[in-house]
Amino acid sequence: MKTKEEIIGRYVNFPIDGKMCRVYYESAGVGQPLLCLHTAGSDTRQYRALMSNEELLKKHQIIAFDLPYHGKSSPPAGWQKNEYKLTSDLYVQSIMAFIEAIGIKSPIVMGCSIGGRVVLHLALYYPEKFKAIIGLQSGAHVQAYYDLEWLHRPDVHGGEVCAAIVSGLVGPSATEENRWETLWHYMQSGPGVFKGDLYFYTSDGDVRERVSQIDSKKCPIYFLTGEYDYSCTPEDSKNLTNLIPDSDLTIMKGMGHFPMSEDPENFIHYLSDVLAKIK
Amino acid sequence: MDIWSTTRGRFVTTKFLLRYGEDDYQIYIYEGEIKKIIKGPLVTPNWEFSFEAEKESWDKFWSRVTDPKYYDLFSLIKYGFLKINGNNSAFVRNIFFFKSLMRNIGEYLNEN
Repeated sequence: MKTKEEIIGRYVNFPIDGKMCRVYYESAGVGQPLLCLHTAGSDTRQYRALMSNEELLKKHQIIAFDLPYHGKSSPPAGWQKNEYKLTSDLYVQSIMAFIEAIGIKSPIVMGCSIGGRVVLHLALYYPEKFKAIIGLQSGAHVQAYYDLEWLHRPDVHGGEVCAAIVSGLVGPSATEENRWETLWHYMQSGPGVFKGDLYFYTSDGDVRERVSQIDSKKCPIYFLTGEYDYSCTPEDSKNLTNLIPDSDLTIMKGMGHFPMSEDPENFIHYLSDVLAKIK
Repeated sequence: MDIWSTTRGRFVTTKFLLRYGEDDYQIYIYEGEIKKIIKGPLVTPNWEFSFEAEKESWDKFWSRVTDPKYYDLFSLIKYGFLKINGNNSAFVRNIFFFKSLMRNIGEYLNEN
């Protein structure tokens, strides 16, 4: 049996923080743009099931890009001279520059994990640029609960250790096939990239002091969080809804930290309910 | 342990302590296979690293009760139920192997 997926991949070159970057992105569908942000140490492949869902594609142009250093996006020239560290400024700049580079207007932005955090930054600083914001596994801050130095050292295989650490974050509703494909993405990440992303997740991206300033009247905000996520927990997301009036949270049964790739079939049901609320 | 876990752990030769509440077990691994388990009290314990948690925490972890806090070794760590002490290099290099080992060893302890 042959099946063809409608996903189209392209590259776009544009400066981020003064450095030219060659960025890979994928898109599928027509209609309201839905910009998807991958998790730390992974890439756009996490969204491939969404990009192959006929119902979603009838009304949405789903777009996902690999952050520089991730997937098929190269790091900027000279990367070898510095340790990679994702800061809040760099992350927000990367997203806004990508939106401008490909010319999408008023997208819904949806991010998971670090992406679920950065959408809070976008809600704070650029609410007028987005039709709506969807945070997957969103929390204002996560304290590191193991030594992040484990993730990038010469005596430990980076792909193995990164995937092994996050393996418990895949919830029990995932099939074995989806579980291990999700982990395969982590196994293929560049050296030090997951660790560099976690600098944002566990340190620089902390928005606890500012999250109550988010105004959901300027841009509607929705949260979807997996029941089994012990990194960004359901309690972390509930705390957000307590601080952001009129924000909306749904806890996804049986799911963990990677809903779009670990259990896409059930995730699409939850996502469709949210998309139906966005007018 | 499935065959793949044993293959994945073929470079693991170590000895570690499993503290199950009040009970200690010294576990010897040679090239990915359990060679010996000695139940305490251990007179002269000698191990590279230890997994230490209360009996209740291990029982919930092994029972596969779907409580998210007890779902994985790292959820046990996150919520403070599990401490890993000592030189953990063998663990860090072989986390998939040790996750599989620790998931399955509860059945052995309950039978012995």
